[in-house]
Amino acid sequence: MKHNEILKAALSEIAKDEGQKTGAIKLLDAFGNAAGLMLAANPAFAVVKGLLGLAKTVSAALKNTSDIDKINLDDLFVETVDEKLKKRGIDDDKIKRILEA
Amino acid sequence: MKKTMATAWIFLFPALLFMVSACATTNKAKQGAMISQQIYEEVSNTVVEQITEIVKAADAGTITSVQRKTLADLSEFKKILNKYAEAHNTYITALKIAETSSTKTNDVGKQARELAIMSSQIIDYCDKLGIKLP
Repeated sequence: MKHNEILKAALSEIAKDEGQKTGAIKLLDAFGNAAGLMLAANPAFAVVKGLLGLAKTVSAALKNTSDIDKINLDDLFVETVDEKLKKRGIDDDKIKRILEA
Repeated sequence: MKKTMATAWIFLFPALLFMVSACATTNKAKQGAMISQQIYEEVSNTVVEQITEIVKAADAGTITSVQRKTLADLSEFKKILNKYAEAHNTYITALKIAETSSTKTNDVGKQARELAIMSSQIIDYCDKLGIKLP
């Protein structure tokens, strides 16, 4: 099944009033299984490895509801890409200079 | 790398829809926020690594025309990611308020919807850049 078809099926599942979580988990498991099969066929396919990793991450997050109460919201804030790059000494001016060189 | 990013957003989109539909319940909203954070970190770290690698190549004088084009694309893409990060953080702030005041739950839903719309725009942006799914 192509990704767009999987996504469409998943969105249909998630849009239902009941079983939203079940639908999401089914989708992610399907992605994980598909990625696993592709990975076995072509271990060098980096995109599939990324896909498999994401499927596991998201699927685990959806399934692991027991510790939700313990989540500290302050730990969920993120840094912008610019902030991350700044820590590496890279800013927009540097990127602009490279692009214009 | 681009395909991985596109794939990541394909994951994020249903996750955000899940978050929007679940935002009335704080625990589910937290779960959605956690997923949003995890996938944003995956994508943004990939972008940061790639930009760093190309900048190093430029500093060493070995940058190729393909890398320069990729850097231009990444530079545009990071603007959207920056906006997403800000929207995500606003969502977390709204969630923090919702935890202490039941009258503020509409703010959480509104922000979650904005995140979902933004993720849709990112998928469109990937399409415009010719980033295809495998």
